[in-house]
Amino acid sequence: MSGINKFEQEKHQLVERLVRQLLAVSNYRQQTIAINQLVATILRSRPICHRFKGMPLTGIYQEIYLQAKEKLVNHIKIQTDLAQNSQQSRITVISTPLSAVALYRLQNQIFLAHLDDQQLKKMGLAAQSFALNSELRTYALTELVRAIKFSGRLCRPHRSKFSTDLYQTLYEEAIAETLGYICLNIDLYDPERGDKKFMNWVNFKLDKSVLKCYEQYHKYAQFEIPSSETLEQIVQEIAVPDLTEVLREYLIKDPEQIFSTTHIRNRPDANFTRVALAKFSGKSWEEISRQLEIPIPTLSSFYNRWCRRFAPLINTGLKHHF
Amino acid sequence: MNTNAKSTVFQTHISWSAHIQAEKFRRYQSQGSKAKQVYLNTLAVSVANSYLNLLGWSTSLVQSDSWNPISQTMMNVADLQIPGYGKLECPVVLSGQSTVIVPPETWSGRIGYLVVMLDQALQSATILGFVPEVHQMELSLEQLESLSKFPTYLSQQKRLEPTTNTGLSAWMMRTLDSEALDSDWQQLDQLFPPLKVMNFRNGQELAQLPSTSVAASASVSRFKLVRLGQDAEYTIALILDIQPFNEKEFNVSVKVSNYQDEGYLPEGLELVIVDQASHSVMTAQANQTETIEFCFSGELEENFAVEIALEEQFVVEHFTI
Repeated sequence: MSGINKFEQEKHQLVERLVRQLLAVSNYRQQTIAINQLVATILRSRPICHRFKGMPLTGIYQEIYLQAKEKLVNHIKIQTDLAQNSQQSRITVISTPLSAVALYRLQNQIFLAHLDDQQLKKMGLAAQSFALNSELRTYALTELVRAIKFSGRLCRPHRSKFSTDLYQTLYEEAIAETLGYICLNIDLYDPERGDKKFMNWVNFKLDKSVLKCYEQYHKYAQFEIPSSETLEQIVQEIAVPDLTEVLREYLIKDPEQIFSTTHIRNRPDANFTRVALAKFSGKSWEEISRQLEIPIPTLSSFYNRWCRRFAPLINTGLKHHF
Repeated sequence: MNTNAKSTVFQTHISWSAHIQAEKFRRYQSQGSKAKQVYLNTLAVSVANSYLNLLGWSTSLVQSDSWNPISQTMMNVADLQIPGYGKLECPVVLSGQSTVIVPPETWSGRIGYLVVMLDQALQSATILGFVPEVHQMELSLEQLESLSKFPTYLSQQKRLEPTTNTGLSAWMMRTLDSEALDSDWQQLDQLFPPLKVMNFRNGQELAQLPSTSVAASASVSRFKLVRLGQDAEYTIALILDIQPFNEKEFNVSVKVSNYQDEGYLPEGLELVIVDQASHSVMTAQANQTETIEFCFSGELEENFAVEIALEEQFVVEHFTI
């Protein structure tokens, strides 16, 4: 996860090659072309405002992009002139402000400086403007979530009330819940409310989420998250019915005589009860298929369909167990 | 290309509340392997649920089989219901494995499969990609479609149209002249020789009566032909009959029988009535049966659906009383 991977390395090498080319040119027109090329390359790894299906940016996404681009161009122009003036001779070493690491960091700083509440609000309203469940809505919400996280404008409410570790757990949980809520309920966002600030709407929800998560946490404080290795160890602290046993009994009893009379076409012996009991005893689909000489897709689709249809009946029949 | 190597998967921390829910479900099971299966399925569905919500898609956990302890016991299921669209299955894989197991009981009735990888410590999860359909138990992770294509795939799913409901009470008000409007549904005398028709009343005769004074005995029957079988070799008549019972209520009869040929219905043919809440309220299977008939009553504007299935094929008709 940490460290620079191969993909990153190649990115950096490309940027530094472009910087070298830029420093090598002297005339104004060539310099402008070289700067634009460098900036376009850097912007490919921008933190927000990605393209929608490779199409040119529009609206607020284009607005943020163009602002950032202008700043980047200006900055690189100044640094290029400085570097060229200070080193009259051939340039072999790239000065620090023009190193790939510095340029990518600069890009993030520029986006961050631009991403104010007004921009986030426009992104929220853009998401609202696209039809529910459309691809564009999905795109806009993905960009919005990315921008909210990137902006650093999420508050950290109730911090002093909890230990650092506990707060970290609650906060992560609350952020996830809040962002999910924002995306699902973006249509409820009213730009006139919350002092007309978009992040007030988000942070209001986050504040409540932290407290709600604590309530949840408090209720199950003794619970320890198991790992995949320890999952098979059975805890029977709470007296709940063993559902497999309850279901087995119910299917055998078959009060309406319906499970045993529902069967696979032309195979009265391959009835629902038989398939279900085989499943309950831990038999695999391959084993059941071999035993009944019926292909798995026929068996499983029969079972799936009737499980769904019998569900209300079984739920009613077993209601007293819950 | 503006591709970031990391943007093609969805990575997330597994929430505390997902673990709590998984633990609650796990405790219904006494067999270790089943308990583990239920726990992992619950986590996978939770992760997929968060992901979908972040894309702005509403989901319904309570309408999912994976959220019902009885269904969890009967099947190895990790479905997520997307209201109005259908079920998304979320097969789960632990990190370090190169294939994912897709249980056969989930091979049908799904709009897609979103594969969720959990780390061994069950702290974080990654949605690796998806496949539109599955016909085998084991799926190589290399076969998955990139998650970056998933939003497009999802938005291309057709909304299950609730507007195709056939209005039953309207049948009683319609004159013969407007028959063409409901061309799918034919008058019963075209199905049986007139002598065999018992309850049939001429539509025109009814239309002349004010709706409040419709004689209690007046009923209207219509039928529609449904073709089933490998080569559509069976033609089944689905016959609907509606009769006013009182001011508000109607008696409805739903019947299937062979068209023309008077023998048994195809062995194993299934007839199911599904109520407004998507519950199967009446089910029957043909077993040396000539006709299956369900009678029930309902109020004006109540919806129900009729499912006729034969092996893997099935036909659904929606009605509004």
